[in-house]
Amino acid sequence: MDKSKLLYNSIAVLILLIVLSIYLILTFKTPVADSSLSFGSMKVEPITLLKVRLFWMIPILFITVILSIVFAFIIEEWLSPTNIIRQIIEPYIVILSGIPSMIYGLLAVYHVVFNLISSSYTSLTLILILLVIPTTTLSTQTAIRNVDTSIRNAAYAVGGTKWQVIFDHVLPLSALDILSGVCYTISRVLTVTAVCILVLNLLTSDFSTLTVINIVNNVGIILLLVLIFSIIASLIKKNTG
Amino acid sequence: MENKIEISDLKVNYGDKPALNGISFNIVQNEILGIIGPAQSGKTTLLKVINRTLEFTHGVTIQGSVKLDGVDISTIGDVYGLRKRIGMVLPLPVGLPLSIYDNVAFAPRTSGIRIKAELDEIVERCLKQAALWDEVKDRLNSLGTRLSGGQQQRLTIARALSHQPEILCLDEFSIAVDPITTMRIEEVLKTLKNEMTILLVTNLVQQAKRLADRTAFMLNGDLIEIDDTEVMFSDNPKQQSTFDYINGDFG
Repeated sequence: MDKSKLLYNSIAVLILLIVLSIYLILTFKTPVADSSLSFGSMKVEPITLLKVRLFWMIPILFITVILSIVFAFIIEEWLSPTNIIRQIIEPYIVILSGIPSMIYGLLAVYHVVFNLISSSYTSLTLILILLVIPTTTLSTQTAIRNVDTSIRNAAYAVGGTKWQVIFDHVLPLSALDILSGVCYTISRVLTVTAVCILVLNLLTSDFSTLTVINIVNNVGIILLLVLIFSIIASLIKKNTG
Repeated sequence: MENKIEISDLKVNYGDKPALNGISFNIVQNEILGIIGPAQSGKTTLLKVINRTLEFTHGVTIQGSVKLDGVDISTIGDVYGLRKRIGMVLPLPVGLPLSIYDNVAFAPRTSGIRIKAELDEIVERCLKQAALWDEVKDRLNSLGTRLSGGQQQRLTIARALSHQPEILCLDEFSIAVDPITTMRIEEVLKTLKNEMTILLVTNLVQQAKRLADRTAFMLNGDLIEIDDTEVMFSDNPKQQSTFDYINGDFG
């Protein structure tokens, strides 16, 4: 690793640690469960609220995935590996994608129950962005890099413009790899969702009434989706690799 | 004959590693210039400088000037237009992930040709020139990457001819092609000479002898000698190393 990379990586670690410390200082207070967990006059359980809010996260998930893919293309196609902006950005992507999704799940539960930020929509959106952008960007970058340079050169050699090369060659050739990465990310997000719902379920339910069926009722479909997305991702990977 | 390309004091470095050490020579219009030399002598780098695809390599520095029809190529704003004037055939065949038809029609389409009849004509002409038409005329819509190595290489030649370039750069085109087909392509090149200037980089010195009007010998980034092919392949070229290389004493 050359010196500049080491420097940027160290700066990234330092900044993330500072951000984490600030976050802990700001949110470290006696936890008081949110009193506004209600729709109008009707009180609802946090789990119902979470489910409603998670439903609204679906469009945000799609927008974030698309933005991550665009972001990865900008990094790979327009910023050279020696570009200073790229060198500054990349360590954050790598570090954030390495954080286990369980952490994000617990963070989401914490935020929803204790309503740390003014709106739990905001906190869930932020957590979703932190969860999706690094992993999708990283997998898309790898997919783009896997496209043979000779194909790019051949397309440029016959006078193709950058856009033509990206849309006609790089994108179609890396599409399956990108899709596989997106499937992995979605299954990761769904795992986090299942964790959130399960933990809230355990928190709010009477243990005497807790049964396996109860759990399956709440997170069964999500776990099934996780399984389906993981299998799709693996199958795509197998066929393209 | 007027000069098509004028190269003066061209230096190329990959980081700290020099690839071309200040070479100067001219390429005359409508000639076939054979460029021979062992690996790492800078032959491919030279071609990449001419069509400006070397700019994609990170950490590369280019000094000196390359003039095409008297205009320095580094000052040309429309780099895509410049590349259309120069056809490039790479050592290993790179079939774009498109059908055979679309592979050849790619460049004309980028220049705005949309009429099917016109495209059909270009595809047929180029595939015929590259000695591939008879083998693929019934399956133009199958994937170009499914063809055999030799056929793919001829497809890349057809693709390079599709935008009617002024200069055709062939970088060891015959590596993946059988001898019979190589001879057929060589015949095509001899006729193409009337329409364009051809730069033939080759490891096969006999190929340069058969085809080239003039031959240049490069070694470790230096231009050792450039002269008429008969002189280069005679018993007394100017440099001893040229004689040694051509006669197989090294390389």
